[in-house]
Amino acid sequence: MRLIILFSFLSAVTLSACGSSSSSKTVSPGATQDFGVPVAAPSGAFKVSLAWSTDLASGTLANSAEVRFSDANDQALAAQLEGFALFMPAMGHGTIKASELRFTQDPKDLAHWSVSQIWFSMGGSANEWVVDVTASAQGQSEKVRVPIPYEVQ
Amino acid sequence: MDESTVKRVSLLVSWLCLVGVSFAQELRPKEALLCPPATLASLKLELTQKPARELDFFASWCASCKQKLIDAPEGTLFIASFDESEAIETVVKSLRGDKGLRCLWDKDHEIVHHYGVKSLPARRAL
Amino acid sequence: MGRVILGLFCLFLSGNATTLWACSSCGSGGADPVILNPSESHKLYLGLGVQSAFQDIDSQGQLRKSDGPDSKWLLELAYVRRFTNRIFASVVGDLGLNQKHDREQAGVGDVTLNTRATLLQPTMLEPELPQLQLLLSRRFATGRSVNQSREEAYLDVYGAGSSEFYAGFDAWWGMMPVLFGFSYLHGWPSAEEIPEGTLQQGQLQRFIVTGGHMLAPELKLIGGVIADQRRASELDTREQERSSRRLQSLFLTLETLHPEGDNLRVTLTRRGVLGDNRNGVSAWGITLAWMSLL
Repeated sequence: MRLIILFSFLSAVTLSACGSSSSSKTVSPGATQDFGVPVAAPSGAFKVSLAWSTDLASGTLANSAEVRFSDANDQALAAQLEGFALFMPAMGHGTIKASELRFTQDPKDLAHWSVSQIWFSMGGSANEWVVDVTASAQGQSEKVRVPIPYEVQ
Repeated sequence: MDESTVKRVSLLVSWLCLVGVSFAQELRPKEALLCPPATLASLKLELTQKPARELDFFASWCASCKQKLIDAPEGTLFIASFDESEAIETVVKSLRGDKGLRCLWDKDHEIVHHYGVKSLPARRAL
Repeated sequence: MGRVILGLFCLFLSGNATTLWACSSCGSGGADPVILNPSESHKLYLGLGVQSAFQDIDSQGQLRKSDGPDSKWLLELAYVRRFTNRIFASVVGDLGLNQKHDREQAGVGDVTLNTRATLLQPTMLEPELPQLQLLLSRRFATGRSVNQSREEAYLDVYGAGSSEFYAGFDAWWGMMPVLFGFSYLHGWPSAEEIPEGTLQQGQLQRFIVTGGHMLAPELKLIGGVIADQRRASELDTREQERSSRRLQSLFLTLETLHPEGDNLRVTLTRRGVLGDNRNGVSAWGITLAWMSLL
């Protein structure tokens, strides 16, 4: 009798353990080039907007992004991209393989940068990952936090 | 000092007070005890003067020890072990009342170590 | 589930514990792994555990595939010593081994110092009283954390990242027909310097509720729930959105209780299985432990 009750308890534990896989309704951008709403630096020296050019996934260097700098009037602004650090505020950690990042500035549009070989160390829902973009423009170097409004698979 | 440091310091002070209370209980002046403290040497002297057939080790938290205390067979010397005087006295007084009990308190664990007692109840024939 | 619990409750009414054994948080994995019973002076503990079937739980409570190790092994070594009739302390250290596919990596985990002070103890005259203990612990961040990781899949992560100070209490009715108890631990983590700035994890509140029964005079079965809540974290004093954590887990422990010999304990755990969990990890775990009275 005791064994039956013990087995029932273990079965209840097992059955309650079955969880559903993630089914976030947010759609990653695919191959779109939509830039998000520009985010201003604290001093207002520049604004940053990002477009994620691939389906975002963890555990791969296939992720990339386009970075555009603008001034207070949303006009293109030449800037030097100095840092692109991923962070997950909910979990309190960043990612690895920062040394693999590649920054490429468009020689015809100094406000436009491409960042490739981005590694997400884990998946997350929309806005769980953010990017701390460090750049200098108009003689001022600052860090701007830009949320990633897409799911990372 | 921020809030969390204040909390930690408060807890540490409370902890130290509890430790102090714990030690103070053991240092309290003794009245006429039913189970007076004993050392190994004083136990041997006691047995020389008044032999016993066996030693019966008990503690206030040992429920299996209860019946033996109630019965208290003749020739048994009870040794209160791994316990505090106040709890021992309460139990012995409650179970034995006016009948009393031949009992010693192994305050510093010398007797249990000598007889290799690691659990209760325990009995050692003499 | 209610009927199962009721059945277990009725079952537990038979039989009786004849002495005081252990505590509410013992064997749960939620507090110090080894304690001393009143007649014990010092003890050695060796535990080998493994966790697997990991799934991440995101800030919205959704389960996701884990990008961490497939399995995490833990070899835990502890020594506990009594200082007075009421106070004992233990030191716990561990070695971790993380595996992912055909890769594995081992390293040292965090070290913890624990102390317990018994405030109240039931007696043969008052078995209905609980054993009430105060707990004070300090975990030292000696193991590599997720923010120090350099390997894919966090293969080189064995520690929590920040040191933490814990205080709490443990109430245990160990001399009743039904063994029952509960514990509360509050944790104050230290700040951790990470590349992004100074990270201050939120304070921890841990509740453990335990029930059990003596299956035989020297065989104890207990089970219960561990509920963890951690407040939102701060980065450079700015609170991070959606960073509070919640994790509710189940445990089941079978333990031998030879009073003068070695003892074995088996603990099953199911992390992140109950209720509303977020920012955590769901996993299965099993730990086999050997305890030797010195």
